[in-house]
Amino acid sequence: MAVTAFILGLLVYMGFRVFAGALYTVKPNERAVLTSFGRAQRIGDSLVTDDSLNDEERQRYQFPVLRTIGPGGPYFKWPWQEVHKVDVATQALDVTWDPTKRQSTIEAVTKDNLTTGVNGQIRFRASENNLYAYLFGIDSPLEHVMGYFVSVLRERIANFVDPKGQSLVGDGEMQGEEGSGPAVDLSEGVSINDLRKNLPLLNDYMEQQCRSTGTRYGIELDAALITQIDPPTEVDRALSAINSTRNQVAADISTARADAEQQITMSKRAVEIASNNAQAEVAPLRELGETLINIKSAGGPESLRAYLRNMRIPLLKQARRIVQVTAPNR
Amino acid sequence: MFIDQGFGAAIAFFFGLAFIPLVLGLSRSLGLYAVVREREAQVFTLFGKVIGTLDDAGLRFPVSHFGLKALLLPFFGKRYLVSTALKQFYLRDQMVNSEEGTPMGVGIWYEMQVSNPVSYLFVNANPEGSLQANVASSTISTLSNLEMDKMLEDRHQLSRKVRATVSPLSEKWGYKLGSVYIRKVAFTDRQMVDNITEKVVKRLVQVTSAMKQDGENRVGLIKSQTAYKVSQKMAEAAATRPAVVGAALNDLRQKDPEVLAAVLDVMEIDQLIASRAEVDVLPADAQMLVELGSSSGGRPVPMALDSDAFS
Repeated sequence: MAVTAFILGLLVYMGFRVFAGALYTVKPNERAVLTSFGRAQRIGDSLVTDDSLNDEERQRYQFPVLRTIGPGGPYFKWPWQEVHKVDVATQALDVTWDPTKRQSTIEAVTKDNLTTGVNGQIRFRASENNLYAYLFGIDSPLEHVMGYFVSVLRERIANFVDPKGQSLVGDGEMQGEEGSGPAVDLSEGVSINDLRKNLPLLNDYMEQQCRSTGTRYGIELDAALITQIDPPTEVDRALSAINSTRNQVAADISTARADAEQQITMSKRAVEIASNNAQAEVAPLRELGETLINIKSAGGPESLRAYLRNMRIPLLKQARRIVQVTAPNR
Repeated sequence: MFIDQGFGAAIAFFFGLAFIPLVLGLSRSLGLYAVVREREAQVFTLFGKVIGTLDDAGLRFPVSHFGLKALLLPFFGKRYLVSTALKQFYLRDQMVNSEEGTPMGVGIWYEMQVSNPVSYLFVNANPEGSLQANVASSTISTLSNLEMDKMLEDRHQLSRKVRATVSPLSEKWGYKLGSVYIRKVAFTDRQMVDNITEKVVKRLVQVTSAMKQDGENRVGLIKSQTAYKVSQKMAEAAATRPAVVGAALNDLRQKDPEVLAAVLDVMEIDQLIASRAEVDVLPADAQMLVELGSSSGGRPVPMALDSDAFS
């Protein structure tokens, strides 16, 4: 009886431990990893690989590939097993996030030594291919990624020049068809302006540089969105003045071009008008010439003279006086 | 008797319930097994000596690793738990001077990981503090007296240099240094920051002026080119009539000079008739003076006609 009760007690305990908390589900935005006695379930001896890492880095960031449990359930686990769930949905975080410091912007120094503020956002998600790093390998993955990201960002800002080597005045903006480049040399760029003009390029570079963070720290960078480059107020004002001047100059040039087009068109029309007037003037002359040639060719020079004499007859109607000389020799 | 049996069964049942947790607790306290978690190392000491380390995650039996002396661990030994996960640290505001003498603040970010738990625990009393001090001093010695531009732009190269300097020392204390990045290089002198800002503003003002001047030059160029083109075209327009009329007259002359003369005569007579002017008809060879327009008072000058036309 006592032995039976003891075994029954054992069975009740085992049943309770096995079935209470034995079932679990995984949400659509989650992935789960099981550990048995603290050891995560691996897929063979394979390690997470990434070609973007060099040999030395591969040695440093060696993480095993884990068996990942996808969304669904209910799944069963033994009492000695533990479920580690990870949210794999994309999340956003301000680049100013720093658990050790409160700040509204991060400072960065540009190539021309200007201290400027930078703000933006990163979108990230836990790397499904490297959950080991995210769960166990890295002490604080997000802090790690941010440290790496900010280091790379500041280094890039310190080296950034306009890749197209554009001057502050774009050649295309102020050059006519017959223009021959700007008259002044403005090729020496201003870093802050280069940065502002090329924010997408900076973002692309950051994404490219952070492509290995999944392998390194178990966090994949979905996008880097540097949205603000905030220079000191005086610089901002000077940049605005450049912008206003650029617009003003472009407007002046457009107006000058429009006036020029109008005047040139007008002068071309003047040539056409003069040509038409001259042709109109010449047309009766040619026609009359042809007629008189026909008269002469038909009747000879005498006919021509006769025609002229005939033409003068109406003048006698207008004559105030006629002096007639009677000369025998005529 | 029946009650005694029931009471005994109840005790047996509760003993059965508590049996497994009791056995597990006792085994754990006696060090019969250990659960090693991922990225965790367990260092065991007995009588002040390190007898071994368990760092492979899972269920482990110290007896199978360290022999029977493992059974003495709960009484005369100690277990230390060490995390071997990759950690990071940001060392802020390290002061360095550039070659030009500019005071700069440098922030250095580095990764570290316990590579040898025994050395980490017992070789250095404060391995993190020592590592920080080493990284700081290495950073200062690497970056001091460098050109400011180099300091600002060659960060990755300088980071690698710092890492190469610090790594051997850190490994002695059971630490492995991971990536090292110069995360921030900043000017600490406010006046210098203001001077640089002023320099950039002046440069921008210069650019604005140059842009304005360039615009004016372009506008001037467009206007002068236009004036030139327009004057060319207007001259062309003015020359069109003589060119066309002259060409027509030349054509006629080449065909028959007499006809040309006749054409001109016809046109002149047409105009004369159309003008309704008074005419004095004189013989061309008349030897006399004629008072012209005396009675007509400002009337048009009469035309002398060839008397042949009327003879």
